[in-house]
Amino acid sequence: VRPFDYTRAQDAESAIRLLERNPSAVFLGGGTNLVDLMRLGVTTPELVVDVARLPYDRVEPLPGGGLRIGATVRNSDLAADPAVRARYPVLAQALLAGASGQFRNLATTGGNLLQRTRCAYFQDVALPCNKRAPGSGCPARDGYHTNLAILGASPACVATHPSDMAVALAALDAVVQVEGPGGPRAVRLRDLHRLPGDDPSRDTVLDHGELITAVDLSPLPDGARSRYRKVRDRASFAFALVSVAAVVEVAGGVLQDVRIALGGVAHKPWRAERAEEVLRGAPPSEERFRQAAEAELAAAAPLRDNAFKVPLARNVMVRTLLDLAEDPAEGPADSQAGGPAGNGEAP
Amino acid sequence: VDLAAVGIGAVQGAVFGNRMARERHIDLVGIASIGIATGVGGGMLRDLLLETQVAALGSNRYLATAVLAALVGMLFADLVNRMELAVVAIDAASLGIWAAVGTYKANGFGLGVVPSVFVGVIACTGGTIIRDLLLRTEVSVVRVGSFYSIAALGGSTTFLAVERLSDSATAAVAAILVTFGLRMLAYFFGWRTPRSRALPIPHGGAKDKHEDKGKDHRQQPPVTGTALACPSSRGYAGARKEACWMDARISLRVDGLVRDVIVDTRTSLLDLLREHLGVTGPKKGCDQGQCGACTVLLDGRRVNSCLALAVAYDGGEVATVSGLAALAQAQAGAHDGDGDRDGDRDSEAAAALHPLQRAFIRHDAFQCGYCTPGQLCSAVGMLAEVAAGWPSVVSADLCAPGPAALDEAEIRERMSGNLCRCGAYANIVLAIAEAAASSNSSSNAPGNAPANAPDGGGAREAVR
Repeated sequence: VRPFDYTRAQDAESAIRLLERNPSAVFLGGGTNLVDLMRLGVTTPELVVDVARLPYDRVEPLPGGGLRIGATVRNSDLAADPAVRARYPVLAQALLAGASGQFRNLATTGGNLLQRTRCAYFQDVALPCNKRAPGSGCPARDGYHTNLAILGASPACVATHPSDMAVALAALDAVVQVEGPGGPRAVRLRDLHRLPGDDPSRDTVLDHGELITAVDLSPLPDGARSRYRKVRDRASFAFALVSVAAVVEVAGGVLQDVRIALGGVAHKPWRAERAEEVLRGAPPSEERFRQAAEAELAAAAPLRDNAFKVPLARNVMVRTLLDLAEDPAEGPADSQAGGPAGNGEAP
Repeated sequence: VDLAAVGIGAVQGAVFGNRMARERHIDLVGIASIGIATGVGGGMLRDLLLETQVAALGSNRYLATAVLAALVGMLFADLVNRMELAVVAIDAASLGIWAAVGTYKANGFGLGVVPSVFVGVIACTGGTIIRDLLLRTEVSVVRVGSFYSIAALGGSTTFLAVERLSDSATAAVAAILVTFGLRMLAYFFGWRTPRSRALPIPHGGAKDKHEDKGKDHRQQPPVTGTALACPSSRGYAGARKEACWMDARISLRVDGLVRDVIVDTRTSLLDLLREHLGVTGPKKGCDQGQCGACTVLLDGRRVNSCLALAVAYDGGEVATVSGLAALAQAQAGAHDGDGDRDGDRDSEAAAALHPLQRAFIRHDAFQCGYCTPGQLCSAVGMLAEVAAGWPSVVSADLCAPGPAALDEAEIRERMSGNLCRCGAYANIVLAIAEAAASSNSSSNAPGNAPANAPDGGGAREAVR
């Protein structure tokens, strides 16, 4: 690890000022990703500004029925929050499906959003990677890419965003509150992360020195149901091969509100807008769900070893939507998140 | 005044020595030696430099005071640790006395201004130098630190300046005040002496001559590699005391003991525990959070200590596997309605085991044992999470009030951050299930339930 200076920020303004002044300074939250990246030599800051103790550690109701999640709320606290569990189950499930109990006790809301890809080439400084060393090339296209992107990738980068929480927040139309050298601004979560294009070194639209202070959730319509379903190589403590966060409101026999986000398939939480279009206003049925999923995945461009993600994503979407659309009084057919249901028809 | 200064020095030395007593196996003679070093070491060096009769050997009182003070310091080390501000203040005052006396004496021998100041500073710092050499720890005065010798330097210089203008007594008072003031200001505002650094001298000229000799100049580390440009501490508005320096002084309570230590900012909590404090219960497996062998309870919650920067948890409370028994004992005590933890109970706890440790033994829940300290700490943290009503991803009802029923699926999911290469999982699950069931049946909600638990823990009916 390269030597670095450490300071614990007293308030957001001084933290932002420190970064503004030093292009090689970084914010530190729970450290679960940053400390690892510093050890790997991927991130070599001169100054680490600890923002984990800033007073953004509460989950508070917003006027109008929403919820404001402070940026330093630990993932475990957020997953256990009674309001989140009752009103945004998709978010609690996504958090609980992420990493391990130990990680969730350290990881913060802001840090979770800003974690970097776990692409093997990004994490190995001995190898080329356009995200880590722009212009050095991307060995993943012809190399190990089983867990990399099938949607929205570019010739320069096929990385995936690893967060589960961000996928749920994308489906919930969350809004990220940001403080920065240029003052505060609000960014829709679905716009926070970038597609790689020809500049994969930038994960998000945030500028250096901008600090996430909160994530706002608007209230869901009465009768809306939500859930998160994650498929991974093992039952627990692994990143998603494919995950689906969905919010569905069925009223009058048709899908009034449907919001779907996919994880593990792209450089950002992938909002399935095409699928949503197909579904909105339509009566829910397995056939319709399949059409919607296929419409979304028509644009998929899988690599040699990750084509399995296309049918997997389709099946997990269909299964999740079926669960949500069925009459809640009848109870869910399958109470386990993830699991083999999504794998059933994968080749 | 002389004797008081000797005594204060010796007490400080003993308290310092006591912190390392356990891992360095320091005995009573060791504590007495450190007391003599810190109490009279500075004065002895001063007198040796001046080639005069060593004052501490001029009477019976000095050495006896140093030894006695050291023993008192040793016995009341915990108390002294708790009165940090008072200790710093008293120490600053005695520092001033040493500076004044040393400079006075040197000047009296006809030494010039610079040598006199030097002797004054040596009189102040010599004791701690000998102490650090005796303990084979890093010599604190040569490290970026607490402005100790600078304060002494200020005091000595003041003494000589004021003595020119008036008499020695006034000069002594002024010297003590200046030393005291500098040291206290440094303490409150976190003043630090700047790090050593090399000037970045361009490599260009030499490079041309040595070209094509098979040496890759691009791999030459930059001269400034470890002496990074560092803005002055004034630049860090709103930043904390330790801002800017790559060494930080932090204080943690580890398994009930307060540990003060200077660490490189890069040190993980795991390395701090194992390499600096000799607390080897937490194990280093993967060093990237994947195996869980390093799990400790940090402020009551289980975390991977390999991913926690030590400096970020200054002031925190850490429980390792070695502290679990005392934790259980304390909780049991709290439930009996008498929260006080006297010495007897602590030593009892040290000899006893946490119920989970007993369950692990009963169920043979390990083979090589390397992951066990992490498994135990993780399980203790996990049971507190369950008691606080936290769901898991396999919980059927996310909103169920109260603790989840801990069936095998729940235990496996909640413990998934701890790997066991021997594959002792089957028995680990059994041991945890048993410990959970027995703590439930005594309606014993852990006292260190996570902070904002949905319903704050508390006794509730047994679930299974």
